[in-house]
Amino acid sequence: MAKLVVSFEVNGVATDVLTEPNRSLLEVLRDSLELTGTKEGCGTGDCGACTVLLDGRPVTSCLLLAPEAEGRRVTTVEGLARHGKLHPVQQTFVEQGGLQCGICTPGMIMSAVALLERNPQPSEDEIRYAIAGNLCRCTGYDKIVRAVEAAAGRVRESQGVDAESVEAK
Amino acid sequence: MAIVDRPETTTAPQTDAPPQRLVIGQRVAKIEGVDKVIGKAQYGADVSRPGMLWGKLLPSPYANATIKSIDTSRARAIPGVYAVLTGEDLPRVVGQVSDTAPAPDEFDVPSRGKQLLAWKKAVFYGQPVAAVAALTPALAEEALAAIEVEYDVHQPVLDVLDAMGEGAPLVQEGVFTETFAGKDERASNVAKLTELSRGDVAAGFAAADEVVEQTFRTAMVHQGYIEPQATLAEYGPDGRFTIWTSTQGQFGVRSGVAGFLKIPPRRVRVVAMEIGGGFGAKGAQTLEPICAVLAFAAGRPVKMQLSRSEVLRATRPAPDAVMHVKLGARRDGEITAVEARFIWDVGAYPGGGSTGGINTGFGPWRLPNFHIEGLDVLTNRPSIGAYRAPNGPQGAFAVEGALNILADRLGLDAVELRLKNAVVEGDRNPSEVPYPRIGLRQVLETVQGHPAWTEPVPAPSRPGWLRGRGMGVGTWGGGVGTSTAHVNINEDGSAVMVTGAVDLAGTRTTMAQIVAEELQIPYERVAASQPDTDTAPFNNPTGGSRITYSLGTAVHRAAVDARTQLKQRAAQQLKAPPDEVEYRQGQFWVRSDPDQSLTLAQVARAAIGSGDGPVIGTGEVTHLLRAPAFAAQVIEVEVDQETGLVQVVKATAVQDVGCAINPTACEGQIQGGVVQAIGWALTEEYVYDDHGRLRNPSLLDYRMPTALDAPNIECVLVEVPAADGPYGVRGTGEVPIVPGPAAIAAAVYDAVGARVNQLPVSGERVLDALAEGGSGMAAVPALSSFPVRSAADIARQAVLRSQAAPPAGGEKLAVESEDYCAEDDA
Amino acid sequence: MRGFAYHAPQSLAEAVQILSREGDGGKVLAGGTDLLIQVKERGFVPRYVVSLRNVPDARAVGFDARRGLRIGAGARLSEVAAHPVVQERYPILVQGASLVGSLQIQNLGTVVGNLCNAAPSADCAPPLVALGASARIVGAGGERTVLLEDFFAGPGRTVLEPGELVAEVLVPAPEGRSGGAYERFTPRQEMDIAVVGVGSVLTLGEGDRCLAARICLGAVAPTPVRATHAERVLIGQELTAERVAAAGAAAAAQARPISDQRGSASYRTRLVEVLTRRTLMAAWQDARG
Repeated sequence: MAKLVVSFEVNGVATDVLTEPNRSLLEVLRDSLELTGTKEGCGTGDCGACTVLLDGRPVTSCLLLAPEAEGRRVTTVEGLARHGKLHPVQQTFVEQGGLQCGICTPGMIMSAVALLERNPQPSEDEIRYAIAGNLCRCTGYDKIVRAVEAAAGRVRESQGVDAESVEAK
Repeated sequence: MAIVDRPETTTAPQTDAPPQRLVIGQRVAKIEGVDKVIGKAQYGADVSRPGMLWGKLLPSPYANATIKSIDTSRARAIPGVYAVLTGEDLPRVVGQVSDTAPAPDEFDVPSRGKQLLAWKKAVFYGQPVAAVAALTPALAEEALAAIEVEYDVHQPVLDVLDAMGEGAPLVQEGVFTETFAGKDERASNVAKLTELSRGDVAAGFAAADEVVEQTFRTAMVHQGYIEPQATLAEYGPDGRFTIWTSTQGQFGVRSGVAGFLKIPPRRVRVVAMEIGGGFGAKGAQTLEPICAVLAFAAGRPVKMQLSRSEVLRATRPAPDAVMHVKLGARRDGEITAVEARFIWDVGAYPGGGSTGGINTGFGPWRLPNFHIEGLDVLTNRPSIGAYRAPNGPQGAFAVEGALNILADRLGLDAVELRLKNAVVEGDRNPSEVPYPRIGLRQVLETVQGHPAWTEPVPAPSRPGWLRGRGMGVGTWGGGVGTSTAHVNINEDGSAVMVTGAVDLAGTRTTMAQIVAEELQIPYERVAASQPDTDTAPFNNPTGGSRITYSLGTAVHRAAVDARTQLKQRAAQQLKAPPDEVEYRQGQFWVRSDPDQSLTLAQVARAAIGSGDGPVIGTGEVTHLLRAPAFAAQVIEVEVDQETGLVQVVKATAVQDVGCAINPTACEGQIQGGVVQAIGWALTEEYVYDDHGRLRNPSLLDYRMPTALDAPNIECVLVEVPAADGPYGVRGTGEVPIVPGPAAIAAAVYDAVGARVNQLPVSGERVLDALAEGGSGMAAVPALSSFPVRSAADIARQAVLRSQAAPPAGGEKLAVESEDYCAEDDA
Repeated sequence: MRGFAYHAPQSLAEAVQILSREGDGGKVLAGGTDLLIQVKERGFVPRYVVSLRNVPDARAVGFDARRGLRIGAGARLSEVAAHPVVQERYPILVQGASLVGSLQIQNLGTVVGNLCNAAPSADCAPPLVALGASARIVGAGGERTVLLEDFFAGPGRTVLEPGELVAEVLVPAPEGRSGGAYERFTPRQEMDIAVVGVGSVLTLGEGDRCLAARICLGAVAPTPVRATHAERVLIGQELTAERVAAAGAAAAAQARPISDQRGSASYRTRLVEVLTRRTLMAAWQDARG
């Protein structure tokens, strides 16, 4: 099978990968780029453990053929912390007990980050909907929801928007 | 969606006021939390080795088929394929590894641990028939496709009641019913019959004013860990195997692999990777032995990773059960007699233990008279394994279900009825094991006074839906076992805790809290290390809620030992007698002259170069009293009247945790257990077709709850200190999954009046139950109608044959099988 | 996974050329979510795939009052569901598209792919069939337009001939006072597959007189099917709750579902009755505005 070069941006870095066309983005990330933070739980898009951001939107990387990522911007869990500082979602997951075994955590965090980017003040229902494609078997989701709520507060703070003024709008 | 309340966690009043504590009871963050949120934590599938091959397994397409022939020649001929093995090859490879003569007869036994690859016949759908190792996953798959297997296909036995019937085809030829009185001499699909009795059952029922008699069924379900099993094995020129794997117990893997390969444990080094959920399943060795065999045969490191369909088809799910319960009680609710029969579908190989479900189901209640039977029955399904409080949720579904019906019939409050019959210290469980100090009564009293139980059921949140409330109780006997720990004191007075335990969901953190507490240093000054089996002190696998309790004891002892040694060193340095030296929060001083003082760091630094050397505290534990835990849950559901769909909208979980070392971790365990129970109760089940093929081997059709299917879960932590172990702590992990299914079924009945005695409580079953006005399930036929011989029958036979065979000690057998781990027959 | 050749043409015409040149065993790739599942779980491996990712305008979603809505072959489910025109004029399609898989799947998968995969349970099918949508199909022999209700041939099969692909889906502009609703039954609230899905579109004349009714049932037959008996109960009649209930009963009487791991035939029949009634009530309300 003829290999081809896929050029895309991974966590802000322009990257070229030589790959067979039948490999998934997940396989390329994990096996070729050694970015093993993105996990595989099912391989069929049903658990969300492999969630990454593609041009800012959450996708299951196990279902995306690697060549389809050509020219796209991919963000994995390894690309969230900046200059050694955790993303607010990462921070609150640790603080609030939003993780146990941690295998769903990278995908869960990517879904939560994507949610907060378009909606910094989500309701509980909106949070649960945003992570409904990410199965977690340890936490019962309760503390994950609390962690996302807390992260939303921090994202708003960092954007200089307090809760009241958002509500007033 | 209906998320109704936003409860706060509360803590119920404590029995004994605890001493002032520094770190115990604090909601500290997980020690490894940052590694997990930045993607740095390494799990089973994240490790690679130079020159690594990929291993894969060929699944049987049939549930019951004789293997007439296997031709692997085409697969072997593919360039890049390094090993192709079938069951027949295993004795030879084991002989080569261990330098012993091949012993094929040893493989011809009904043991899944021996039959890593099907031996002459495949006994369940998806059972591995061959294994390959090749340069790439794609090549490995090509090799699998090139293996030609000729099968002689037979009709599978898929239902436990069918399997017990006269003339049922035998799943295994070499299985004979095991009873307390020995084994039957006729082969049977009934692998084990457990009989537990007390008192005079007939008299007990004669004294009853009300008798409830019901049959309950549950479905085969899966633990549902998100990380599929993954293992990497390497064989070195020194004759040693190194195994990186996702496991609940690295020492268990070491003994399992060494045992299978007939080599001493020193030839096996196991590295437990970060584990992505286990819930009991990863106490069994699914991949490690076959991966080691492949690595040896291929002469290269081999990595294996199950696909999700393999996980669902061919690991070790939890058994389905058919349970018949007859309960007699006086008008005031006091139970007078119990008769019960629990039939467990243990799949294609013996093992799984039927007493666990009996002791978990009936354990909370005082039973003056009972006769309870448990049967392990073979079918052509995957053999079962441990899943969180193994067999407890099934047992409780039946017992709590019967109690809820009894309460309704007697017009008693469900909690009141339970308080009437609750066991207390000194009472015995069905296996006659006495209870030490327990907190069931306190748990029930907490529920009795909690708004979740006392407030009226709110109106439904949507038109067309009805709302109801139900409750259930659960217990878990508690896990014990051997644990060891080291606490190394660094030259700056900080500490490194070293254990050989696997951290499923917070062990390192709570253990570090114990070390910090005992050394009276900040939690941040404690590091946790869990090195491989060569380096770490021994530890039994993580499971059965034993870790915080048993390992906690070992860690506590190690920390106290370190503190004691430090005090001695301080005394030497201060030139004072040790009993004159005081210590508090990093400061040593002489009691009579407080100006004479040293910091912990000074003492630790001086110790490094001293004659006595650095301080290493050690702690070990094997014998502890079990610390049974009890929980009660109140669950509210809403039911769509037209479709029967059930949604859980509120859950309140009250649990005796003994001592909450880290309340956040306790709540996390409880909330996770509640949601697993919701899946078990409402949406999860193995669906087989008539040929024994699993119809739903994906996470789309095997429906585990999503965030939208889970309610907010209020946790109420009750702290009745355990009699043994540090700070009175009890294991928290198992119990929270036990009460849910029964509580949900009761809530459905409360909402719409449909009594569904079969899991899952699907919309269809709710509508059917409403239409029929009953559970629609036939009672389980009496044992005498099956060709199964009781222990008494077998003992009688034995006497007739004049073979002196006195009945073996029943209690011992029962206690053993109650134990925590999947009984891996390896 | 065995290998396949990968083509990424610059235009639909080029895609058609590749399909006719390479012949059998090809697969057109839009989102790719179903393809990779088929490869992994069912061992189906195409000989080659033709990706539409480089085709300009494949992802377009457009509307004009005369021709209605056009959904390009590459338009993602999430893009279609979020499109202002779709939100305003085709809420029933928003309901369907936003139920497929998870958000992650909706960001990859396409409306056209959901149709071409031809699962009887596809959530986009009942809404689009009920809306009277059609597929514009291009191939080496030219172009043709097929009503969606005639597009499905069986589970996983469509009327697409070898070498053909769906260029876009055309949805007529809603007429006068019309409204629609899609509802499905699943045991879980998300990440599930319809046990039954029903899409209903109603057009009202004066008052509550029903001028037109189109009802499509998913997951109760080898293909999405129109509930013609139920439609006849409504068309030309004054709508009442009783008449809507009668339509639900007619739909259930006409449906011939099977039993499988997702639900039994008898339960599915009951669900058809309930969901037909519920979607008709919602469509009626929507039409009244």
